[in-house]
Amino acid sequence: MDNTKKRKIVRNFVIGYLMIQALAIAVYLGFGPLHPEGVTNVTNECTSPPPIFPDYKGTTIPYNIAPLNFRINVPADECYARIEGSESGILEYYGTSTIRFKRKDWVRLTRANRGKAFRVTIATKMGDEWTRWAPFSIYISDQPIDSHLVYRLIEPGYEKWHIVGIYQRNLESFDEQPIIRNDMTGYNCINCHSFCMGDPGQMLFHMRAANGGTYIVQDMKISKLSTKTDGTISNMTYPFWHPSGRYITTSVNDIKQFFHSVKEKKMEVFDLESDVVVYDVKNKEILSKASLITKEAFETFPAFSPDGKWLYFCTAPARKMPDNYDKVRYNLCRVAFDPDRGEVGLPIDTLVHADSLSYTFPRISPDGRFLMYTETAYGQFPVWHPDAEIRMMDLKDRTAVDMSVLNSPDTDSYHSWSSNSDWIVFSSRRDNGLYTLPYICHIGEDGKPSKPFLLPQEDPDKYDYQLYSYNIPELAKGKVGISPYEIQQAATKNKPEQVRFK
Amino acid sequence: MKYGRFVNNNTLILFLFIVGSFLFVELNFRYWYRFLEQYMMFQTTGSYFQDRLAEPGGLNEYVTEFFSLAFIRPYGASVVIALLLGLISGCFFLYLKACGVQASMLAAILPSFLIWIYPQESIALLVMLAFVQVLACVYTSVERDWARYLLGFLFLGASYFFAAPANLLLALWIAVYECLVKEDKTRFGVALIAIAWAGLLPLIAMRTVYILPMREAFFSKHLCHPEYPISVSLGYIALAYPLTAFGLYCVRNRVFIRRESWKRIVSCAFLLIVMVAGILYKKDPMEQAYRYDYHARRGEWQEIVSHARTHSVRDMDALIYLNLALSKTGRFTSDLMRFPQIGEGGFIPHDPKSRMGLIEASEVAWQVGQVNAAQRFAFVGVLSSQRCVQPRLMKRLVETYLVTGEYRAAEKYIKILESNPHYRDWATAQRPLLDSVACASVDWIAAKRAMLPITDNPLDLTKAFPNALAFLIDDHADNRPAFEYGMGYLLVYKDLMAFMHYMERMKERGEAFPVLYQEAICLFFSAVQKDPEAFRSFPVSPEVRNRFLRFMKVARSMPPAALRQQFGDTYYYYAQFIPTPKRQ
Repeated sequence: MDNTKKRKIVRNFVIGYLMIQALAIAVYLGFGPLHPEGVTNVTNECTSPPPIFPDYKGTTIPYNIAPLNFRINVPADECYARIEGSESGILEYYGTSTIRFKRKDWVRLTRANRGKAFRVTIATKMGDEWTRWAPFSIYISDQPIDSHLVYRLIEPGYEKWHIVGIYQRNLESFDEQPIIRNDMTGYNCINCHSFCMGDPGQMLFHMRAANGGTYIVQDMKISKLSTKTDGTISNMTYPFWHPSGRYITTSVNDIKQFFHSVKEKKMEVFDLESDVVVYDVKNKEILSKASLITKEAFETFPAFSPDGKWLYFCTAPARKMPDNYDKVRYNLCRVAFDPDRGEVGLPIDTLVHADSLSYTFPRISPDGRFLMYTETAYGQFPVWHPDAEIRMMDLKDRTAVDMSVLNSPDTDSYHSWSSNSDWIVFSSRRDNGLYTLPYICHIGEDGKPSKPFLLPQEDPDKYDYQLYSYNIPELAKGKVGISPYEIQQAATKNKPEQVRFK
Repeated sequence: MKYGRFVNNNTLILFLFIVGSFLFVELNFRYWYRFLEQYMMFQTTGSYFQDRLAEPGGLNEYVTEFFSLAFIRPYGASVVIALLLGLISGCFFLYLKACGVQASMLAAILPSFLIWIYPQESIALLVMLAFVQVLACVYTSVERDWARYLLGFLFLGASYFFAAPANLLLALWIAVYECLVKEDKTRFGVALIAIAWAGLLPLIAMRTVYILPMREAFFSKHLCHPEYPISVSLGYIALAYPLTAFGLYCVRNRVFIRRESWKRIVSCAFLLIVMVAGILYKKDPMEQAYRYDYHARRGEWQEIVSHARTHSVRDMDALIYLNLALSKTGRFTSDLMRFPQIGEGGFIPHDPKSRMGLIEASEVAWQVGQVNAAQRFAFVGVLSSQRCVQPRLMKRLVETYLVTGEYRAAEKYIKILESNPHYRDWATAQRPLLDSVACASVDWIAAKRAMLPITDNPLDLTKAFPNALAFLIDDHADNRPAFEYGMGYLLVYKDLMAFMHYMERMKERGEAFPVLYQEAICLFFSAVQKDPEAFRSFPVSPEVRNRFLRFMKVARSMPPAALRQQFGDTYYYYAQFIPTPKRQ
């Protein structure tokens, strides 16, 4: 075969390939939007709504949330959804098992029906028979949720990690971007991100192992700090910002873990020692006068009140560990904090006594009205405790709010308030008992929670195939502006600055 | 020329090379590639395809994983790799011809021999090379300069997004071609632009499309484990092709052998010698461990025992699998002393971090009934792998979650496994077990549940093996695998006092004593505690007793080789003549 013939063959092959590709695109574009005949022949009526995933039935959602795409968990060849809002037209969607809203339709629906509900009617087709299911409603709150959710994606596993990253998700769309991922910083551990009152411009997080240090982002500048001092037992661990941005309270912990051998329990994370300290961001020093350092007690998970005048924390009498790991129960307490002098003032006010249970993760609503915390049988790290539930106290009269609508039989633990105090995001293992997923819940003016819903994804199947947990979901009022490459530069090029203990 | 009527010389050489590559992989590395197949997981879901496309080199990875599905089949890896090598070499030969180098096929396959010297962990490199070679061939086949340059520009972009770092190689191929075909300033400029464009592409992509570390932006994360340094062998293999082209171009006018018949004989002979040498001397040092891992994965425990009997055991990983196979086949007590024992490291890996170590730890933990540990090691094995997938260990996760009754977690992994063509049937078969009633009625689950630990303890099976086993035995005296492993441990370390503690309990339960235990009991009452009354209370058979007495009589006088031949499989021979392993 001569070269001319060979070239001809190759050329024909390329032309043929391009034609096939063009044809495929034409077929996709031409026939894709074609709808089936519609629900013409309903033969069965079902009195209950169909099972859907995520379960959005009867939930309250913020008007600025991304489209609530869902999957119908009923065997079907085709499915149909009819969405009716009183202030908008009727929307109709078809699919095989998944209903995906068009962005334009969704925005029109949610904006027009703010403060009202819309109704979803679903029909499924099996063979030639359509089944119409009972409709369900979704209520659209006229209160928005903070636009971004920041979380760490990590395999929910034990002592080993591989790919860890802190990501920000725009709650108004499906856009997810990394703030920093550990493949850019030597596969180290990245953890404990925290924002000052949801301000994306003021952020803290830690790196451990390679490029270790505490990273504070303020005014688009990144400080890398070494926070272990002679006066503290470890690096800064679980942080919380003072509303002024001047201070950060954090625990210092000697953390250990072990694995259970019985099937009812998996693993245990506990402290051999722990204290609470306050770090002065401006002067780069840990303030001894604002710190709670004792050998007699374990103090951990501190948080400031939104007015900055109170320092909340968890504390338990010190015990020999790990022998007594299941006997340590943490009280929820607070002390007065003077931001001008950088000092705490006694006495300690105990808000929740750990008589038979343990309390952790205190978070006060930005309006100062409610204290939300997590309750578990023992210890302060309830992620692996299926009994862990979220509780709330009305600080006006120190009464408990009924949170049974929000909780599930599985672990419900970490939580973060929206800046308007109308929404919280919390982590829950209710879907499979293993992977932590972020749930959003409306909190009424009286503190009453609505039925929570799972963070919507463009593809509802995403959660089924994803092998990561959503760790420390924190709401932020906007997008974190600092780029991953800037953080990478700071991590790999800068030396950590040593903080002082004053 | 008369032979040319039947078959072209170059075709013959290419055919021989493909056959040789097939034999090389099949004879030396088939278990290695079967082992590696576990760390690939092709999924049929659309989201998986989209995820792959969303990273540089993702399509290459997708195709690699698809081809890797064949590795678990007989001859699968050998056929796929041989054909890929054949495609690469054939295309390279065409490329050389297009460059004006009148080299033989033998010269074109020389760089491919580097794959023999440096076997890769996946065929991602081969797929990428094949992709580049095909694009290079298409590129060189276009005669019109402007059309070729345009095509080259498009190919470079596409090769980056679909098969990075194929863009870098393709740029080299283009540059070499343009420089060699015709001495022309324009072509030289095109060569420089191609290289510059290929080098710039990752940087542009980093700032616009991806957020990636520099290394992954240039080389993708699929060619080798991103947490480890890039192997230099990748560079050797990638650069070998353009360098070969240059080298051959330099000697293009020299004729080494004039006669066609001699050319044929010399090239075939050379090729055969090189291939035979490769097949004979390039052995996989871990072959036995990978072989046992493959059999273990398929539940072919008897195959492991049979192979160890004929070939003995050559490394620790193989010994762990052998001891596990002895336990699975009910021969732990009868055959333990037939094989060299190295102590705890022969029963379970210590604090495993390696791929195989984590599989072994999970297998042993599963066998002795420590389901939590089996689950944990399986989990860590999955997440610490390069691609964060390990379908075999995902199967173990499903099994453990079914045993512990965590059905929703089991369902998650079932759904993931159902998206893989190879594991789909197995996963679908597990679905009915997600119902608690159906699950409880399955024999193997009921058996595992009956042995679940009752007493909680924080002991890690791989760090505190005997103590962790003691808890399991105390909870379930009828946990035969745990008991046998425990007694095996005590006997290998010659801890007869602790061993006898368990024998007393075994006696109280009225259980039959295996020969190994009887031999240890004979030794104990002969060497440690001379108490004939107590000895008689143990059911030691007359054969075992008489053989032991015979041993005692001749142990000092018989030549060592003869003694070993007669008593080498007994515990008292081990206790007397084999050094005690060091404790970890």
